[in-house]
Amino acid sequence: MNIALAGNPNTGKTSLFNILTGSYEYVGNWTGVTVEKKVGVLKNKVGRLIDLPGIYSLNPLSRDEGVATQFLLSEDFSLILNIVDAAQIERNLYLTIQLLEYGRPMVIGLNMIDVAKSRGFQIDAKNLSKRLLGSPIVPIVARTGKGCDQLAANFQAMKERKVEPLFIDYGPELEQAVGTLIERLNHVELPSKRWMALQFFEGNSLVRELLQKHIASSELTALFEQTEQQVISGKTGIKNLQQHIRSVRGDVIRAILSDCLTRTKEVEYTFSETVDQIVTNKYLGIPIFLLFMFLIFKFTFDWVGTPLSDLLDAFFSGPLTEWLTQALVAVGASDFIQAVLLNGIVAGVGGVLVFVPQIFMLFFLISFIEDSGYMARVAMVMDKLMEMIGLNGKAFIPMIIGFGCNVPGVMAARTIEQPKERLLTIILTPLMSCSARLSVYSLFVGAFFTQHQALIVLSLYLLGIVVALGLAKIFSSTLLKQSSSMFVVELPPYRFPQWRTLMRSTWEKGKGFIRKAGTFIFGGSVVIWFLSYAGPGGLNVDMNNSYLAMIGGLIAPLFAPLGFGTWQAGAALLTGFLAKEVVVSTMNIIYVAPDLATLQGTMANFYSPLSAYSFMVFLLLYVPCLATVAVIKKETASARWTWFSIGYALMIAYLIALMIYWGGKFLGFQ
Amino acid sequence: MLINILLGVLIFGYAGWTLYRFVRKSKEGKCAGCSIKNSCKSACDAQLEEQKAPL
Ligand SMILES: Nc1nc2c(ncn2[C@@H]2O[C@H](COP(=O)(O)OP(=O)(O)OP(=O)(O)O)[C@@H](O)[C@H]2O)c(=O)[nH]1
Ligand SMILES: [Mg+2]
Repeated sequence: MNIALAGNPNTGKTSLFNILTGSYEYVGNWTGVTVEKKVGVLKNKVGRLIDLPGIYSLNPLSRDEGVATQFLLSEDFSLILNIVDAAQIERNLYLTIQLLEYGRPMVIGLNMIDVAKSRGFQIDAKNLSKRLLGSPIVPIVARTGKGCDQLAANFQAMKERKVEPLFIDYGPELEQAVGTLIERLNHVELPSKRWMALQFFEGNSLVRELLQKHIASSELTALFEQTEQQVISGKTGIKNLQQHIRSVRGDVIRAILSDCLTRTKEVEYTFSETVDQIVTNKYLGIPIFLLFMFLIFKFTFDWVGTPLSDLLDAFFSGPLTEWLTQALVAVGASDFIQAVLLNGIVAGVGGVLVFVPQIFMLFFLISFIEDSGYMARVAMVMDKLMEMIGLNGKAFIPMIIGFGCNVPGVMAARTIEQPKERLLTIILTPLMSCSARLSVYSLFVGAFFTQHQALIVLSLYLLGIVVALGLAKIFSSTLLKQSSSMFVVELPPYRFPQWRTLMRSTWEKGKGFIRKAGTFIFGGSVVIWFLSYAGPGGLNVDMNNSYLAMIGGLIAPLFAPLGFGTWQAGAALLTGFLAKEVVVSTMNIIYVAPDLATLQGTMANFYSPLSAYSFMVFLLLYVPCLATVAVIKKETASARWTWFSIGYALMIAYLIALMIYWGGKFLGFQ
Repeated sequence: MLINILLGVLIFGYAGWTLYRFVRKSKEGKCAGCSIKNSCKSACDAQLEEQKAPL
């Protein structure tokens, strides 16, 4: 049995999914968290649950909404589990009604009962169930799991039940047209023809596509226009069919609610509204956002992250290396094996793992921002600025997600309705500094900018944002001209994040980093070490005569104008295309250093603070990593745009690093 | 001697395998791990292609 989990955005679908299936999918307090369906097996093994992106209506506007509608149209499932946000029940029922018209068995989870109660909403679930074709309605709190078992108990029985679609009378003109269309579909096998017809008249493009397989497009258009004329003539205030259908459904919903909903108190100003007056203030909004970012880096570097990293480093370079050496000597390992383990793997993998505390700290704080509801405010604050450059505030959400990792950032661009804005967001999101790059900054700021670590890193993150916005302006006025779209971001109420959710989502984001260290970074370190160990002269050559030095030396002259024309830098940047953390591994292997402090000391021979900064800038911008390139290819479905995103990044990175290096020199920096 | 060969094979074998897997996985992208990718029409095949490619 397949159960489809459908509901409005940000109503707790994924929270419920996690509880019912015991999985750990991404939960966040803004609309558009889930952009791709997720499948999980119910804990009692009776079936599979499919978590869908949130939708307001079955008539899709953006690509993530398309995923949900497409699923309901073409996949095989036996039951719909509809999540309704009790605190916003009127708007949520709009989708419920359409799902009932579709005519599949349905169970309704009335979620956020806790919030609804605090706002003085009282919902008569029994009565409501009667008005909604007797679909079972269970009040739940998906966040804590309250009521979820009772909800699941309804699945078996409901699946067997035969249900009739909900019937709403849309007025004689439309009903007649619906009848005509159903008649025309007489000979074809389609589920729920009345629903199809209604969706068609509402302007659902996916349904129209489906109908075109059976009825000529011109005939459909004619029928549509004729019906629209008939329906709107004589009605004031109704301009098209969609509006008419909406208003009929709205009336039905209000009639239902007048029976089932009582409000025990009116809340005037909610806590969220008060806070929003400050943080989304026209003048204060952006400074407050910057302050938050600064605090994040203070936590990550100065206050919590770095001290922990130092402890970890002490362990790796001290006891761990010692034990390993002793063990290797004891079993009689050769020099070659000792070298690959100690100079290759421990240096390469350990060098990256040292930064785990800082990265987890950053992820923890990003999760906090996401789950508290502040993220949607940032999008709103940025909207003014974004509008000037041809994007809208919503595009900022993928970019913030990109701070964690660019891959989900690119995926999150699906929530953007306008195709060109979406494309623009996809190709600019890789300029956001991801956490893998953070490990490289950590290494460099620890060596060259000990006094101002947080500030330097903040400057890099801001540079990424500024470059992205600048390019957006250029691209949107040249390559990707477009009409600007309306900005609709929902402001969810602030919620104090649950510890459990925070820990989980920190772990979910961070575990990839650790897993990568154990797999890909491991492999990469071995190969890089070997390339630095072997050369045309044989094995165990001086590193300057190794293959790695030859390869790095090939491109090194290119970087001389940027201040770091060494083969080491060339080699590190080459390997960094695979994954940005590898740059750290490569440096650890190349500069053979027993611990972080020594490494940072050695690096001072090769870089000045200015060239170190120029290197970080180049690394920030130069090219999306392999995984990001792959996801860009998938999401744009265009080789041309994929190459474009690599090419423009290389050029812009070179230019800006050049400007910073020579500008800095000119200003007298070292 | 034997232990050296054993360790060498283990280390280089594992390293090679991880690299191979990384490149393959990266190329496949998101859908690779999805349990309904075969019947899934909304993300992994060409159905929405025209929506995906704006130009
Ligand atoms: N107070 C309260 N908060 C909840 C409840 N259920 C979920 N939340 C919170 O609501 C927010 C949204 O939850 P998600 O599970 O991500 O919502 P979703 O429906 O999957 O959202 P999309 O994927 O964007 O469609 C999170 O911050 C949850 O912690 C609830 O019953 N009560
Ligand atoms: Mg979700």
